Amino acid sequence: MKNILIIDDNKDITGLFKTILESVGHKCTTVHDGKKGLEMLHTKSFDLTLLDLAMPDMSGTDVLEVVKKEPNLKSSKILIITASSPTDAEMERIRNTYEILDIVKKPINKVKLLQTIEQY
Amino acid sequence: MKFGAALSFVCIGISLLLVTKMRKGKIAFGQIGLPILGLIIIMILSVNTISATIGTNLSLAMLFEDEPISTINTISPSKPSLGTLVNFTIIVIALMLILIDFAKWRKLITGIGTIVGIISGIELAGYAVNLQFLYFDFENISNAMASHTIILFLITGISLIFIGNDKNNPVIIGFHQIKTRLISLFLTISIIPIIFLGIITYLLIQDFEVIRPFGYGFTVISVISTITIGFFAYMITMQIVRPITNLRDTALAITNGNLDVKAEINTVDEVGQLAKTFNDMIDSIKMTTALQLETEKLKQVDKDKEEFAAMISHELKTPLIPISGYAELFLDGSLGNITDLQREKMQVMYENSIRLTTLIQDILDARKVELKRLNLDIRTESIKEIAKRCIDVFRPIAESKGIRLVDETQDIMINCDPDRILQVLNNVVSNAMKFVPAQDGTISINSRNDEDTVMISIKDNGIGIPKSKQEDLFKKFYQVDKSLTRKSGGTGLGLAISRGIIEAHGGKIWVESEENHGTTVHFTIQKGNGK
Repeated sequence: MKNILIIDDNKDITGLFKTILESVGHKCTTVHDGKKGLEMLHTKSFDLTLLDLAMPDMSGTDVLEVVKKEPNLKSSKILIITASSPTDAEMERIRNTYEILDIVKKPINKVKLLQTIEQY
Repeated sequence: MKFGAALSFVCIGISLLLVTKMRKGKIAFGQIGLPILGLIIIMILSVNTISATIGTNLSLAMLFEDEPISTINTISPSKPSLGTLVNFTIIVIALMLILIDFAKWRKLITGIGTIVGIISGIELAGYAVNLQFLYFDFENISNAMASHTIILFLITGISLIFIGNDKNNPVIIGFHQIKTRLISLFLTISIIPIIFLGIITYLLIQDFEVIRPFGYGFTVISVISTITIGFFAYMITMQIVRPITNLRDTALAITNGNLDVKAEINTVDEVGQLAKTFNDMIDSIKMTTALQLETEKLKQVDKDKEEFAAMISHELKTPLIPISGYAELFLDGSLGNITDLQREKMQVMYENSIRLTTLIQDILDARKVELKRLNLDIRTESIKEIAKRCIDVFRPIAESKGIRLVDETQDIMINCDPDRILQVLNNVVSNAMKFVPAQDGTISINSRNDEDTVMISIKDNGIGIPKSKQEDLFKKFYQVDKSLTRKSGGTGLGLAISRGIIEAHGGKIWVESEENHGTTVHFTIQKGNGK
């Protein structure tokens, strides 16, 4: 079972993901902005991080930018889960610029979320 | 001596004829005109030189009778006189002008020509005074003739310097009309004093005393012709230089972003044509700039719309995730046991939230399809895998309705965006689900392995679609039977989006159906290379 960090500004969504993931035995930590997410990444080690893109103050890409530059965070396994519809170019740019596992678009249901988590 | 003068007249005559023809445009200046003109100039000069030498001999014979020996020695034909030297110099320059590459040597040649011309002009005045107040000297007259010829070069030179000052200036290329006009004018003007000098030479040969009264006339004429030539040279030069300067200033203004300028059109020659073309160009640039601004504005509007759509999509989808997500958790028992009634109502909530999510996604997708901006994430995936995912989605509902879902696909790899192909399958299967009979419905997914493509077919035993309505099926918001919409839901976007997705993949989608005999939707997808 995995130790998972969820970074998303929407508490209802983090709550849902946490409920789903914990129902199958994963351990979840939820934070609601990019800054706190980075703090968590610094203090603890996670098997997987679910990161939202559109967040106020510090967006998902801002978080990725910091992660890219910090050597201790570089090994973080990050999965992007986004509700916005990034353009082809934007997705390509994120894929090429940062080391991420994948970009998953919301809506995401229980089956799809668990399947995705299972892959990594 | 009569021969020399006659030859001069013949040459002058030919020049005049040639110039007239060139003016009328009967002889192309660049190809034949210039070499012939050059040749004639050389002939005039040669004749002048010969005349000068013979004339000196003649004058010697005459002068022997009433002038002291010392004077005779100073103009002895055995020494090459200044006039002869100048004449030869001119011949060389003329040859250079004609033979050497104009563009490269223009500045040097015109420079030399100008200096020699100025010296000769001063000389001419000196000789004129000499002729008037001292005594007749054939050589001086010859020199005067030569000097006038030099003036021809002088003016041509000045003009060429003016026109050709900037060797990078493309304006000077192709000025046949102006060059012809210039040269012919210079030649005509220069020829007048030469004719006059020819007459004097002839008269001198006839009778020494007869010519004396012409001395005044000659001085006056040489001064007048020099002034006239200078004036014309200035006028013509200005005529060419001014429009070009004007054009240059206009071009500069445009370069600096001022598009409200216009080139003044005051000539009918190439410069005038150029100015006109230039003005047309300004108009064209203006129009293009206006269009560009308009396009920029539209692009911005489009971008705003795109951002708005992305924002709306995000804002609408986000609240639906916890709604459908928790409903799903209630239904699968993850959140504890619920009563059957609660389950039934929760199912309604869940289905409606999913429907709303799909609707939002469909509207966004339909827009993308319309704008041909579908994001495809092309991978190689087995068609069987995608079909399995589709059947997994519909199995619970199908089972509850007693509909059979059959996967008969082969394990063939295709190049596609698997999520989008799944979306197509889902759309088609969800349509089929609405029209197959409950308890006895069958929906099967088949694949046919063709050469480069795979044909995927979704067959049902539903009510079928009348032939007349099959074509409209892929149109947006189309419903075969409007009354069914309320019963079975759907926006009528599904097949329009599906067609957009398949076409974006380079494939085709079509339908085969007969009323009451079921429907089959086929589509083709490029086979994957198994990478």
